[in-house]
Amino acid sequence: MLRFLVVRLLQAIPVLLVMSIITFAIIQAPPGDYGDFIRTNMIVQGNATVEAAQRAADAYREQHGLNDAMPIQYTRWIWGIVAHGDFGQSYLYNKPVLDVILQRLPPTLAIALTCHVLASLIGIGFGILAATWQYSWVDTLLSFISFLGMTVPRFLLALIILYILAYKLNVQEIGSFYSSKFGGQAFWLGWFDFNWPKLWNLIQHVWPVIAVATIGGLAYNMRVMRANLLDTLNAQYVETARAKGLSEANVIMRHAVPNAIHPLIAYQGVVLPYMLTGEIEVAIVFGLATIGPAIVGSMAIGDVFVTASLLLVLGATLIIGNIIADLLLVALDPRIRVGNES
Amino acid sequence: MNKLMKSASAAALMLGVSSMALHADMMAPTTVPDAPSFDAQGSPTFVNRSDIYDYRALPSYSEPAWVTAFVTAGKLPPVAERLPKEPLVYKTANMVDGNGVYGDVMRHVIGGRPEGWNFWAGQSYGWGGIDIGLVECLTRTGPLFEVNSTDLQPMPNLAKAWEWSDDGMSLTVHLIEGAKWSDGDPFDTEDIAFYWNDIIMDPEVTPLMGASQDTYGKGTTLDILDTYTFKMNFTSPFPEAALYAMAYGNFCPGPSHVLKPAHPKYGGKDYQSFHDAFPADMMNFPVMGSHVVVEHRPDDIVVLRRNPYYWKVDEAGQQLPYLDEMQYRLSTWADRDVQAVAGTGDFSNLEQAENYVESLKKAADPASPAKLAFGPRTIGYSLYTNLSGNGWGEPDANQQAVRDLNRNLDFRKAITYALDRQRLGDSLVKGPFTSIYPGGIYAGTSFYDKDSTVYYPFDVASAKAALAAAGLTDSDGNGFVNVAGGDDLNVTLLTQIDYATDKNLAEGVVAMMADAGVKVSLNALTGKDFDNARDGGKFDWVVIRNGTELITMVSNSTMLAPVGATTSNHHRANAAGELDLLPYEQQMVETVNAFISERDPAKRVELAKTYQKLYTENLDGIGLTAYPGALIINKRFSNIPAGAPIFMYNWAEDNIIRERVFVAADKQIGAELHPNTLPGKLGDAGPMSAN
Repeated sequence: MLRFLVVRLLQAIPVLLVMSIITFAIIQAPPGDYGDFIRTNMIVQGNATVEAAQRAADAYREQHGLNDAMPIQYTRWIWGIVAHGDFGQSYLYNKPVLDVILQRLPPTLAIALTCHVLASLIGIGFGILAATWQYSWVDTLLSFISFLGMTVPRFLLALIILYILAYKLNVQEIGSFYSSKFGGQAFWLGWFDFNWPKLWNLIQHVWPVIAVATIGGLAYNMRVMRANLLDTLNAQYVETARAKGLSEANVIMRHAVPNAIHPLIAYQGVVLPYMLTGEIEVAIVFGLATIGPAIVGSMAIGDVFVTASLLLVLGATLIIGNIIADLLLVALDPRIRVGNES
Repeated sequence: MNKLMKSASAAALMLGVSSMALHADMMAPTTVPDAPSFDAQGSPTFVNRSDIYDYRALPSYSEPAWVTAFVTAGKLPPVAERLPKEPLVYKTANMVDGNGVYGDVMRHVIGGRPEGWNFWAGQSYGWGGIDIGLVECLTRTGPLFEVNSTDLQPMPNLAKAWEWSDDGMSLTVHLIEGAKWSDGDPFDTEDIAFYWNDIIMDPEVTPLMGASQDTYGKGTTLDILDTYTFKMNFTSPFPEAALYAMAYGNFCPGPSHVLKPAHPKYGGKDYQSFHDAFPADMMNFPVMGSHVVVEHRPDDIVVLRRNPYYWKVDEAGQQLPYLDEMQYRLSTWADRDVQAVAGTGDFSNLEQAENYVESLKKAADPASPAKLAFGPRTIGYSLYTNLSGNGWGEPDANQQAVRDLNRNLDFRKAITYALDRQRLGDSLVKGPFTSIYPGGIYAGTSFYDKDSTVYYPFDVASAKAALAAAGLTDSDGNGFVNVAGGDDLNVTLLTQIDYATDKNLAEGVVAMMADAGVKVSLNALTGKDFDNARDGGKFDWVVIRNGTELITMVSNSTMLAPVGATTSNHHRANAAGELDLLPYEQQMVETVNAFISERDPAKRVELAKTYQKLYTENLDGIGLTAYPGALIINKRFSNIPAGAPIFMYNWAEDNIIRERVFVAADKQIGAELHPNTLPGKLGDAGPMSAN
């Protein structure tokens, strides 16, 4: 097992390296760089003359090595990561990219995990209901919801909800994690003094994002759970349990569900990156300060190290998720063997 | 006989037709129609500069009661000691709602992010008026929108007065005496010397707006005379433009007592360390502005508290600002309008004409928290033809053919005759907002003269006649004129797609040019790609939102004509640095140069007329439409001057003079995040309390 893990981790290194080269090249492919952003801002916002703005942009390029050839810039960036753990400097925030990542990754993961847990619980719950009420209106309704969740693109769902909230219901708690009043407060105001109003404020702000990403994720859970449970409900040991005189609820929850849930557990590792990208799509629409808007925003203005590093981190998460999925599968299913154990 | 008559009449007919063809004349130019007026558009009450404020000592001064608590606690000197000998005094008569009361907050929403506080090493504060609120400059231009044209000159600010030498080759500037930075350090020529010698003259340092020695005139030098006086020496007499160059954001000195130790010349490590010495999470950076940054939560909010050393007062002796706090929500630019209309933000500039009707409808609701105030029609778009005939932007053969046509006045006339500006304006927004804009200086601004403005009215027949005069005919009968080889003439129109207005106008132009027989294709690019194509000369025609130079003539005057290799936006030098000016362009250059160095207001007005005539007659730029911007501001604020434009000499954040804006006691909303606190020491985590 350990050997398997080490091999998989070692395999990830060249994958990440190739990925970093490709992403860096793609990011740098469009014409223009951060110097252009500086120039435009100076002219548009600061009313500077074109000449002065151009001079300032050129000076910035010179100082920050933006004129260097792409391979040199890439090598500098990747060497910084490998040798010093330095992801480079964000031009826009004027601070290390690592700080930007550390500021944005935790809320991103927190939202993704929340969505994941909710999608699993609700999806499995729906699946059990749909299977036990097969072909009834409950089954039809839940299947319809899951069908919608699977087919409607999340960004579209987010746009629709955003429109309804902002323009029809006049809801103002969107576009940030907290109202300005709560953002600066701590969650713990003292020993045993939890800041409940802040938590409530957070929920008021993030529920649309969580709702949209969860609906997208629960559909798969529900479909798999429904199908598996229907299979197991017809199994002989379930019949036996019924014959023993157990109540139907007991039969389903104690005998059928634990057996039907296996494939979903194996699926957990893969689903994390999936939920992460789901959260990213929705957060871009809602403008929450997570990874997604940072990728799009930095790409638009040429803040290259932020874009490249965030994509690298996302790639790493994806690979780790896959490794976890494989390990879980091994742990759950003794028929699967890993490594060279012949 | 009959036969003879027939042939004679046939000949006469043919002669008639051919003579008609020969004389298919273009409509004569005319005067431009007046723009419609509407209720929501305010107009400024024009005054002289000295009616707005002056500098004098008052018998007594006061401050908010909670600030006095700091004095009592020994954390602050008394208010009279914090103020200069003669503070800047805002006159009550010029304030629409009179002297104000203290308290409350203005909640801005911006799309930018602060890079750090070293404005002088090129760091942006995130725009949206943060820098305008923090950084004060020697002169001030924002409020000039309400200054009589006979008194039009930059307003004094940190520079209290100035005088020219007899020959006009030097300018002696007197600073306000006894003013202090927000940490109590005196403001004096030490700050000026540092700004000039170690920022402007240091080639390794580029301040935010890119000011250099040449910004104040080629070869300008600066001598310090005493603690509050310095002298600037010029190489040409009376360069009035230097006074404008002392306003935002080119001569706004920084706190030398803080900056100097970080500068490599005075012991700082290197230039990069100097640039990064005051990062965005360092609080309480000393300023001369009305508020100081005390909190910054990345991607969330920047909070500013009142500067206890602010050097401006009202006539009752109350130290300004009236507003105790400023907040800048770090969101997106689009969110700014939404939040201002919804009432969760307080201030926005509405510039996209497409949103006007919807926003006006919302604002018309009595329950609406915000009001819309329209200013003069100074948001204008023009179509510019690329006038370089000698290789700027490396045109290929087809593009060069278009350039040659661009340099032909008849061809430019064809464009302007083909444009139905009424329809173009209506395509953005129906109603009285847009006006017919022939190009050049905007109607309703100081230097505009209607009689000097040549307007070629919309007339497709004239457009076709102008095309014929330019040698272009539709030889294959497909509706589009052809070039020499027989192919359709195909012009590429560059536009940007970040803003709907630009794209809508460009699409309108394409359709109207098709009606006149010119095939135009759109090259629609996003932000920086558009900027690169435009500044690199890679376009045949381009649609641009005009800059401040056509509104004021006195700011960025060099952009009015190709006076230098790269000053014009549609005619720049080729790689060898050569400019192939057309005769009228040469005249424009001479006029602009004369305008820049002219001091006599009457002569300036005459030069402006000449410029406008040259510009509009020769179609240097072809105007499309002009409309007013609207200031969206929460109704609870008082002292918002009438007719304040969202942008003229500067942005609305400067124009409305925020330090004298207040909220009546019964309208205050209690949204201060750090009530009863003042900025602390540089580097402290946040503001300080009295106790």
